Amino acid sequence: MNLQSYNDQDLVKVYIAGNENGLQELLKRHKSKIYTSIYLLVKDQYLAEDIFQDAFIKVINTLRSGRYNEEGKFLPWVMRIAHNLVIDYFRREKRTPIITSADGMDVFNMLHFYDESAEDKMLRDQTHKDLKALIHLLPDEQKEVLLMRHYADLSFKEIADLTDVSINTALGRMRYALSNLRKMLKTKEMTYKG
Amino acid sequence: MTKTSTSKNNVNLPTANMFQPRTDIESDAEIDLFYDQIKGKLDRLAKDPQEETINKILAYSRSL
Repeated sequence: MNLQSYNDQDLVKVYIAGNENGLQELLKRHKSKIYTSIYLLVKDQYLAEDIFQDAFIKVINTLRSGRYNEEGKFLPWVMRIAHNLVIDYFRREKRTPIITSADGMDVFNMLHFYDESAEDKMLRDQTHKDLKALIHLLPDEQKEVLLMRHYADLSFKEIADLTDVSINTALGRMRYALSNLRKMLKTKEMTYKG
Repeated sequence: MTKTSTSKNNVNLPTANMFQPRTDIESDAEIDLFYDQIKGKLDRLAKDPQEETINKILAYSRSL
């Protein structure tokens, strides 16, 4: 049976019917999207692995118990479970989100650690690492939308449902996330070149 | 009897754009262009979980 051509809903049905390959294909298809979103939120590989695993154990238990609502899409549903687990983790750790002004300018002021001299080549080589660091500096609600949109490929409607905000708020947060990243990258380049 | 009607064309219904946050400095086009420029870089940050984690999940499922 070639499961690659099956859509997610069909794979769920295959799995519920007892074929483990259905789950294997769903994992293969979505593991990167889900894991990257978790990892960039919690910033710790081992914790991200644990949350990813816990999310799929909940998925398995729900599917096996027949409580899965077939009307929903699989990926947004798993992302909701993962998102709730991340929130639970932060609550347990009592980590409060970074407080920012509406446009996230406080984050913009946190760039002092880039005050180091560097060559242009280093600037290019560092871009990958820097971008990850800058994403981590975004306010939580902006980072969340950016990750769900870019990595999990969720629609703004799905993101809005998942985070309990309006579609326009989700759209606005995405815009602010990109705007802040742009400002931070500009500042970093000026620091390197200056 | 005189029939009356109201044109729907000129009613000021809210549009999605009316609720978009606005910034004075950047246009939507600039933000979109920036996003296009960093998409590839964002893609390169994508990571997979370890194979061990996947195997644990599959083993849990098989154990039920």
